[in-house]
Amino acid sequence: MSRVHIGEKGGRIGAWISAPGNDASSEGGRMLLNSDFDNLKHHYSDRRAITGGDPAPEGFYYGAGMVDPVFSFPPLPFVPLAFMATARQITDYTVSFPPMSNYNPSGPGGITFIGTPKFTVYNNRVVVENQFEIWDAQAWCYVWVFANPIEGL
Amino acid sequence: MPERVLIELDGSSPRFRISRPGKSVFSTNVGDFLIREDMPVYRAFVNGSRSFSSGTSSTNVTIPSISGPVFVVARASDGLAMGQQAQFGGYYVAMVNNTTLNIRNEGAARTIFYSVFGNQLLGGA
Repeated sequence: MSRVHIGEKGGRIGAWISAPGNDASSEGGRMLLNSDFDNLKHHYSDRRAITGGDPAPEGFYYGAGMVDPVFSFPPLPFVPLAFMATARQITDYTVSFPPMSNYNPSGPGGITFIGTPKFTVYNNRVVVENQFEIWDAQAWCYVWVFANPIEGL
Repeated sequence: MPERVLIELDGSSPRFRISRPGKSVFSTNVGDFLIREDMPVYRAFVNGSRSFSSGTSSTNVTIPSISGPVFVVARASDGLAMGQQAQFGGYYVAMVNNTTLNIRNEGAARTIFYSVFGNQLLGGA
């Protein structure tokens, strides 16, 4: 039993690395790397502070109308796969998924998007639509970009 | 059939590349590759599921400490997407810090399947 197989297998050319106890040369075993499938290939990631405007009488801050955060990255020849999330503070690394809320979206401590959380992905940037209500004066937006085309995955 | 696997030492730079089926390993389009030595791969280093009763509850899952933010992908047994409001109320969300994944469910009973992706080498986002 081998855990690394590079070359021909079942009429295909590729590379396979199996999980412990599995044979990389066989079909159907658990694989750590399997060239039959794609991998998430990191291209870019960063974070930006998102800042609310003047507080509303209810106590939260409106982000609508603020400048949309732009995350620029080296251009790719295709539109890549991207993910986004938000966090209340940079210090505790507590990042919420999806990027619309934490546990208390309608009360102090929450981040709430007014509309559907939206970000637009281009081949060289991600633009986050800055439409949110925020209970802190500042929060954080995270973006990950992978060198995987959205189409043809 | 184009060559799909490249393992070589290019001067002093090692290269390890696997291209997509039908694509040459010598392509200059980064989208043609499944693996490139200059693109760190994100891996699902924590996978699992948690079952929730109806109502509001949350659970913590301990995850290995990793130096930068990771991201979470999840699905539910009733087909609800993460963060989506169910027709008759309820939703589920996830929060993650460097050692804990917290999943919170409201509304219907459901099982939530999750994966946490990251790469230890990349550090902070």
